[in-house]
Amino acid sequence: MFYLPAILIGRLVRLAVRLIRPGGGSALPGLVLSKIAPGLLAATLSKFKDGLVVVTGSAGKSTTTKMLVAMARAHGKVVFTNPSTANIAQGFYSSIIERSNVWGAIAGDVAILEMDEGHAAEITKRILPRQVTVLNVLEDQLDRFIDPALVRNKLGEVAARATDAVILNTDDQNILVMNQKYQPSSVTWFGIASEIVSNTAHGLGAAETYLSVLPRQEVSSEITSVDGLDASAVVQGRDCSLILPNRGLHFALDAIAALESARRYLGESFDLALATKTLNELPPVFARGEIVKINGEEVEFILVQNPMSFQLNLDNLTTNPEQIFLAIGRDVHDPSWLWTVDLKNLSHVDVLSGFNFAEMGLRLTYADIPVGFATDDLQIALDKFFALPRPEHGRKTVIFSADAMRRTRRILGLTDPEAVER
Amino acid sequence: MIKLVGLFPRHLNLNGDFGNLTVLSKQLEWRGVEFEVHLAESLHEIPVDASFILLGHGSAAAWADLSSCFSELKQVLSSALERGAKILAVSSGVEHLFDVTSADSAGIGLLPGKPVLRERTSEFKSFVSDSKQSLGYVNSELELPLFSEDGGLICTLLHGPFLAKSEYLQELVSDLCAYAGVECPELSHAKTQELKKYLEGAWVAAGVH
Repeated sequence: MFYLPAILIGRLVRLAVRLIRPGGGSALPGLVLSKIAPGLLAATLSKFKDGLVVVTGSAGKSTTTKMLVAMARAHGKVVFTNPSTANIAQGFYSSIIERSNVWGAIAGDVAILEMDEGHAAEITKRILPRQVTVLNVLEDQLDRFIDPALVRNKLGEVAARATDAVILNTDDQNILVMNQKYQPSSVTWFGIASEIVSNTAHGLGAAETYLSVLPRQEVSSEITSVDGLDASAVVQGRDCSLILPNRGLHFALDAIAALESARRYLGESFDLALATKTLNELPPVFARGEIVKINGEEVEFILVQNPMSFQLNLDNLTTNPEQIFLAIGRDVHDPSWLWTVDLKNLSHVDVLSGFNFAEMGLRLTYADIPVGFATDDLQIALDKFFALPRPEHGRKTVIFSADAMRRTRRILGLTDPEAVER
Repeated sequence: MIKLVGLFPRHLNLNGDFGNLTVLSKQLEWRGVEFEVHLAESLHEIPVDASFILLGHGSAAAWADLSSCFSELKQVLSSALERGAKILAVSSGVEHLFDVTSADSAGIGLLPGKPVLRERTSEFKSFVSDSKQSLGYVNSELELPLFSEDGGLICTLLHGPFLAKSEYLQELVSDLCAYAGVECPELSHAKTQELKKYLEGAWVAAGVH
């Protein structure tokens, strides 16, 4: 009863936002609710009988969480989760508006949430997670986090608060340092066989620690081979075959993190065959290798959120796309990091747009990468790009940052973030 | 021959500061001026006749890892300045030029004293120096000027590719050409216009004047 007025206000705000801007409205209602009912989040999350499972780290949270949620559901668990665009505090409040009854309660066995690495440290002070998966520490969002070591410390605090299980990446020295410093309990490890990582141009992109190299930990789950979308893994000594949602070693890392997290959460009821079948049939999280039909034409969406996701996605542009749209939006607060990305796999850009198109334009000019047309007006840019004749080979390729992605999807009428096909 | 040096690229490129080397290289290449780029992971890789040395921004751990070479680095930088070379220090690169850093650890010692701290700023900033405008991102708690130039030592808190959005760039390119005793042709009109379009857009997006 206590939260009823707040929930109703939140729903009214959501309705108003969606009337004004179809497809939008994720952040504002949650922000309002977090101000008028700050205790609601902890109250809601504490009611799940299996507790709270957190997936955090610099990159891969959305894909890993989606995989873990699907596997848990396949095992019969009723799961509350958050959309991948809502992984900060107000996003969780928005999810509560969306999914709870008027008293703020949500039916389900467990809450499996991806959490922004900054917000996770604050939220887990108020509600202890049952299980925490930490993926990695990259040089990401330095305008917020300043120094990767500070991110490592925040993630260490989160991991140390887990009551039952901690799942960590042994192929990131930051995570090994974090484990040494915070010593969370009941840790198991996942990773990718060293020879696979060493054969890639830019590895997995973890931030340098500049400390003595710590030894790799014994893994419970490991990727043993990757060939395009096909991967092999060993989970607790048992072999399995995986089909990744897209090209790239980072997707293999997400998959093995999700498998180990599912194994830990589900315990004895974990069925590896069911888990891998579920994972192999899962569509990608939107814009992570998503194929969309626009005007009857297949288009590939690629989301770039930080230096390493930009780098790894460019490294995996194996076919040299004939037509490329690139949009960098407002989410890139400090565009300096665009200069850390090696652009040699980008032969050209047909249309450049987004709020930060000019910053990207400078970067492209100084890399001698030709740009066909550039404007900050995303609507004009998209019209121009989709007016191009179909490419003679491959698909049109759209590369965008998160803000540009949301605006692009809205302009193209793709308003349901979960409507993604493999 | 102009020799551009980037110091410790594995440590001091946290915010894309090596973009400054890219900008200088391309400006010289587009003008047809010969140059070399040296990415020096150790002091021994710095050519004795370097024309330009970049000291970028790094994490606290990166600087701690480099601290054992500070006294030797001071000699290298001092002699570069004495022979008329340019040094560009960026953000924590500026901080570490002082005798003591804001965290009370030993610095390189090229500048006297210790920088004072203030509340952290994380936003776009612009400045005008000698009638030349510059725009860039600052994420720092150092109470230091956004830009200073003293006898070839250029210090800025604007991290990332500061030179890409600074009217100071043309003067620096001219100075480097003069230092090497080579001509400095103008950029082509087309390239100038291409850069101008994006520079104007960057100023609009940054929302600072």
